[in-house]
Amino acid sequence: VSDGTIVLLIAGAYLGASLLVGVLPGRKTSDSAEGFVAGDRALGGVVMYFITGATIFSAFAFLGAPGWAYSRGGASIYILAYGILGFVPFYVLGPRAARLGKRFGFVTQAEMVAHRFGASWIAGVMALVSIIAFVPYLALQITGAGYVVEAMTSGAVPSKVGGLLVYGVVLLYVMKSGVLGVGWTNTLQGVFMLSLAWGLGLYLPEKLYGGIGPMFERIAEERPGFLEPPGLDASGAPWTWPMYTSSVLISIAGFSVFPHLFMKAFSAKSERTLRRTVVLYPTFQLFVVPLLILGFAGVLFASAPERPDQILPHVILNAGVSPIIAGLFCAGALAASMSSGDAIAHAAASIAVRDGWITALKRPLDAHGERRAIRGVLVAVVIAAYVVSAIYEGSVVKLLLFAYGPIVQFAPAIYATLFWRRATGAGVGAGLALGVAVNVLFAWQPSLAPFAVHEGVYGLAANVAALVLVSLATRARAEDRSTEFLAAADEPSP
Amino acid sequence: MKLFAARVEPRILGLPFALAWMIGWTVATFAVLAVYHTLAERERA
Repeated sequence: VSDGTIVLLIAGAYLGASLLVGVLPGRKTSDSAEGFVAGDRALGGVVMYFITGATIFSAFAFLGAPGWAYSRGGASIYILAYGILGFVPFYVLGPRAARLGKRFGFVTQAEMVAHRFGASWIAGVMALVSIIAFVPYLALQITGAGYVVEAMTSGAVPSKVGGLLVYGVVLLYVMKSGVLGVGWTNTLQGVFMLSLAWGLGLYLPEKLYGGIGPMFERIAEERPGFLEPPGLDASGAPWTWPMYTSSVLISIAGFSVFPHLFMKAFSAKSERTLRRTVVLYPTFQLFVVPLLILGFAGVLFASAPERPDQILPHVILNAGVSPIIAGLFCAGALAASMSSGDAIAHAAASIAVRDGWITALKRPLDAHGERRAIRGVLVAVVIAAYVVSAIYEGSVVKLLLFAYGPIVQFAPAIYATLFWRRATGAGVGAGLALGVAVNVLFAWQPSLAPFAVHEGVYGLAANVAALVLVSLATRARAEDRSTEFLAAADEPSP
Repeated sequence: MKLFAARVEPRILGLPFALAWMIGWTVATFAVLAVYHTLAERERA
């Protein structure tokens, strides 16, 4: 049996296992949106742990984090820095949202905001911003999966066919099992990624440099200053402390409000499960450490990949490691792409139907019809992302920079909705619109900004100012349900 | 500007100091959260 065949067999077996775990969840859900989107609010501790951990981390972590360590040195420690505190606000936000979800039947973030203020158009705006962010993000996952397939078949299966193959599997299990498919595959994918990252992170420096210590010693010698934060920016020039610090702060501010993560508050079976998920999260976060080490292992490697985020597959497939390890790695990289991609696709479809079609455009559907509509949109979203990935190739990363950044601007709206009595729909809407506009402006034209800090800082400042001022200047509409809403948020349930 | 933890030496378990420092904070955050959570759950019960 040739080495290439072993690599293929392992990765293929892994894809098969994902499909099996995804289409056969242990439990059946009701034939409704609540079942398909939120798993009938009955997910337990283990699945919640992996669904939140794998959803957030996988995509960026497996290829992006090593890419940062490899190309930007000490700057990569920023990833560890924001992850420490990023999920902590959810300890309070999550249970409040869960109570409201149970009481009013929410399964998405935006319908919660729209309901309190009796302003369905806010759900429409949030749905639009989310979908614009999700499609290029999903496209990037598909490109990543395609690249892995191409690399492990030595080019026999081109990237575009590989991406189609892997996301065909994702589509099948998400269609079949909804959030349970996402949850159970993420558990498999999470266990796989965690063990693989730690295994490889210890093995590869040993093989290439004779250990982690000697590796860093050599990097420090040959690239003085490279390992010190704030490190380098994307173009290789020194990064600044204001950029480093503001990037950490913005990432923390936005972390909990990413729609595909936030809506998992509606899936947990209890508030206690939610809180425990937040507390345990740093144990998942630690797996960034071996991934950074792996990226650093590429710094002095003999050859360089085309793009920094290909450093890990590049080193693994060129370092002469055993085909079994290479195969496991390829499967792990596919797990990384799939466990974020499935959650993103599932969230995008749920949001488009719940927030866009039903809430904002006021087209009610019966439970069965809703589930069918979400499945239909799911196929459309994956096809759209596939087309973007096939057409744009290199520039998807750039597209993402503009598209994904504005999501952080949901944060003031979420906090105001859950906590601030005096907030009005007009205020929240004004903050959201202005925040997104400012964020996109400075991401597009950074030279216009008065100080070189992360564009999200300007967006958030404008956002909060508009939210507060407009809220104070306006009164609640007749459809506003703030009193009943906040009372329900305050009422603890087990 | 040179900040306290922005250094490579002394290396800890072979890791650059800045990286080990951040790992330390991750572990410390987990410990604090776990203690808080345990006490808070007892109170809620």
